[in-house]
Amino acid sequence: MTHGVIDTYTPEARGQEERLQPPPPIQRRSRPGSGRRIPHLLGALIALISLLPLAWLIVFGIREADVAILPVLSSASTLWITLRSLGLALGVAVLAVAIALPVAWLSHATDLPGRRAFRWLAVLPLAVPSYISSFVVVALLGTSGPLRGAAASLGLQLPDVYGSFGVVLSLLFMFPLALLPLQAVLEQIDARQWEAARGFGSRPWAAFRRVLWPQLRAPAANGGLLVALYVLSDFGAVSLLRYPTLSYVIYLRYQSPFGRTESIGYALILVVLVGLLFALHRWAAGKATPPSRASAPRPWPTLHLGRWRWPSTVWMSLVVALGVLLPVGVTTGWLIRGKLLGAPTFSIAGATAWTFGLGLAAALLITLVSILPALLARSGSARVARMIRLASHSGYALPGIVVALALVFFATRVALPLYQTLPMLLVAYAIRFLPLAIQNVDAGLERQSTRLDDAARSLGRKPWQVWAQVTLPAAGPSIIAAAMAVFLATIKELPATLLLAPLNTHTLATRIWGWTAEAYFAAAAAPSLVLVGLAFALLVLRPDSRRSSS
Amino acid sequence: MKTVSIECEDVSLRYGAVHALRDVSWSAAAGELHVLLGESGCGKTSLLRAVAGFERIDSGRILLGGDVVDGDHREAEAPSPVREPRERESRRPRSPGGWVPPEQRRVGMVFQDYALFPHLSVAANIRFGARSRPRADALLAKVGLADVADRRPDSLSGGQQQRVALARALASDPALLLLDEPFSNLDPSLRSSLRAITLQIVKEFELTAVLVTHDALDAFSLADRISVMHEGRILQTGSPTELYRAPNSAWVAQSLGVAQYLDATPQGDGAACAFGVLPAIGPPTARKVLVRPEQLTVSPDGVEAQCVFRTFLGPTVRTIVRLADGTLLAADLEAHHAPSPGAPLRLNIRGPVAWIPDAAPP
Repeated sequence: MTHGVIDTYTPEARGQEERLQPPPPIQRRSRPGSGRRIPHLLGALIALISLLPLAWLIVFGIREADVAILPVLSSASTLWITLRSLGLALGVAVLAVAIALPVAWLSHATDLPGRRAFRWLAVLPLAVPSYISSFVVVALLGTSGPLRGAAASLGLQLPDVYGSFGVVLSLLFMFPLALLPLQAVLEQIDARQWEAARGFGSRPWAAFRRVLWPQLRAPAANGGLLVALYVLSDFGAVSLLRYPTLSYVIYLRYQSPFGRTESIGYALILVVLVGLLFALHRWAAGKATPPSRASAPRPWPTLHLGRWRWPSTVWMSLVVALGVLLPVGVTTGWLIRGKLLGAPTFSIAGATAWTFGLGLAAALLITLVSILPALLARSGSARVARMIRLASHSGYALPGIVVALALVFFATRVALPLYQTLPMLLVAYAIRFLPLAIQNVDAGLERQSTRLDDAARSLGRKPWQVWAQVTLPAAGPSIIAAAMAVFLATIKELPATLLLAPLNTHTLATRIWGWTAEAYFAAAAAPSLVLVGLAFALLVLRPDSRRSSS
Repeated sequence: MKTVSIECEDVSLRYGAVHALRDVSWSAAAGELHVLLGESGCGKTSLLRAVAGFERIDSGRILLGGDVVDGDHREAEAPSPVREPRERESRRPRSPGGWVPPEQRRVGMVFQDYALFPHLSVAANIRFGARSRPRADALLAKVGLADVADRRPDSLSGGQQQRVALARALASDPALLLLDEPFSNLDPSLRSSLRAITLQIVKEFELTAVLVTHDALDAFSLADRISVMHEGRILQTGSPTELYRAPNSAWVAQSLGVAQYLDATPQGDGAACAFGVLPAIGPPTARKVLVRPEQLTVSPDGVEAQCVFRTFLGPTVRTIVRLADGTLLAADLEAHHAPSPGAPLRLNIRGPVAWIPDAAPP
């Protein structure tokens, strides 16, 4: 499950910003500096740690192929598990794009009431981790769920939630992943193109088909790929709804007393699939980048929806209500119901404290580390910076369950004292969320003109003073954005926390997962509400890193 | 602080395979306002950045006020009359001892994009490098921005940002002021007034100032002297009138205005051409002389010509005329003299023409 990683990681959006800036002149930074050796070594260490899970999986898989890989490859069920994973990813991706396209278009270019609010409200479901959306789906549609009863009284037999039906519904909460690239591109498309098409006599639908759709195809495909990547990597929904895709099977194997090493084999298959999709995504993201322009795009005229106005409004409201209000409503409902029924209550104080503590520690540590590549890039070691960024991408692309598994095997075989310790858990978070922080910090620092450094130097500052007084403070908003993104991702993280947290250490995420798995909905409601509330708040408050220093 | 002169001796600077500066020898006297003029990519900004210390030169040396700030110190004491071959120089390791970092050069710089610190207020920007707070506040008032002192730079107009940048550079009490295309991001209507303000302030501080621009009008209206750059070299240095009237090459001629040429042969000190024998400047190394459009005047005893086309420019009318031998010339004529297309007219050339060694055919 990679909630929080993919959801805010939009390389295509960054591409646009870079293109909007005039190309910087060739910079040659040839200042004397002997103090680069330590940052270089540090950078190499970070890159190595980022690559550790992948490297260890491969090394371990090859070394113990007869127990780790061969049984997996020779098992007939492997094919079905793989196909099921791919089918789920594809299905959810197509549905998500189908939801996202009208949402993006309606809230961008029409006279839909409240379209500005809808534009960011529609992104909020991203804050709902898949184990909470699964909780919502099970609580509503499960055997004792109110909706199932209602449907039955109407003579409708709903499919079992423990299966593809429930999993697809839970994962559709991630449809904003498909929405974001579309929004980014729509914002860049100049209204004059539309006006020109209309001016040449195209009716609205023809203008959309001939002028806009060709430009929206690539971001739509890219958004679909992001969703597919998310689904392949998801652990929360498939584990709670017991849908045996690769990531759930990895966990099951890992938990089973026999053939534990076979989980490595499944993990490697998943890594290959994710790698392929990721490569495809990077390729599509390149295609999705809108052309550069000199002037700001002209604001869109509002297309009059006419009689489509109310159906459109209902559609948008439904999407937002299901994505945002439903999780809050269902958790609150179960909280009240639990109190009324006198269900046994569990304290979540400890879990809340751990969640905050781990989130803050990870945010601090990872943001600090993420400044290093930008620092290196600006002081003339662009190649080392690129190496760190590239290496850290592997951590971003790997599913959380795979990172966790690799680290567990690494710790138990090589570094036993580290197994299930806090440093190990923080390393896992760092591997997973460093790219998220780097992306945010880079977004601010790369757009910051190096002339600022020059100006500060000529005003009498030494290089280190320039960093302390200009470079970092001017990038403040993007550094805060990075810390908030890492904090949000960490508090929602499930698989690595589940496998690597010290014994008897619970976070809100592991509590929700555990209690939902045992159908203690009343108990799971309180931590879910806290987590969802926190996630919504962070998503709303997050400073726009794109607007920081220029 | 006393202002300083700048000397560049055989300065070369490369970015990878790109030669930004090729053996540039150039100097600006203490207290003069020197304009580096050239198209983008000609090396003018690189030269400025090398003087400021943002780039380290590959060979040659730079002196500020007679002190070497980049390049080899040893040569400062005993300059060798014969320069060694390039190969040796390019392999010479850069000695940090011969390089003074930008923060020690006392150079005030105004950047093209102003490079104002986005996280600091206008007042804090100006105070950033200021020797004293009163000095910063005085400058803030001098550029007329006291009422926006607490605002962030990005809330200011381009012209205001430019003035903040100028005040910030001056507040650090520099020995030398460098301005990199300070007006290029401004509205044309703002440019002339900001040019005037900038000129007044620079002159008031009695600083050596180097201004980089691609705009001939900037150069004419500000410069004590202009150096025209092209492909990493300085083509010519001189006063604005000198350069306009007697450019040493076709490139310099067309950098500063409309350049058109007449076939001519030397005759005594003058040049014999379709307009008779005209006074001419420069050595007659080629058979072409430069005639600026405003040098052509309507005159009853002039040479016969025919108006082909005309464009009204306000004070003057740019008239394209054809001479008897088919030569086309542009003439900026006073509006009441301008003939209609097809009409005949008689033209004379006023003032001296200049021999241009590498002139293209008209």
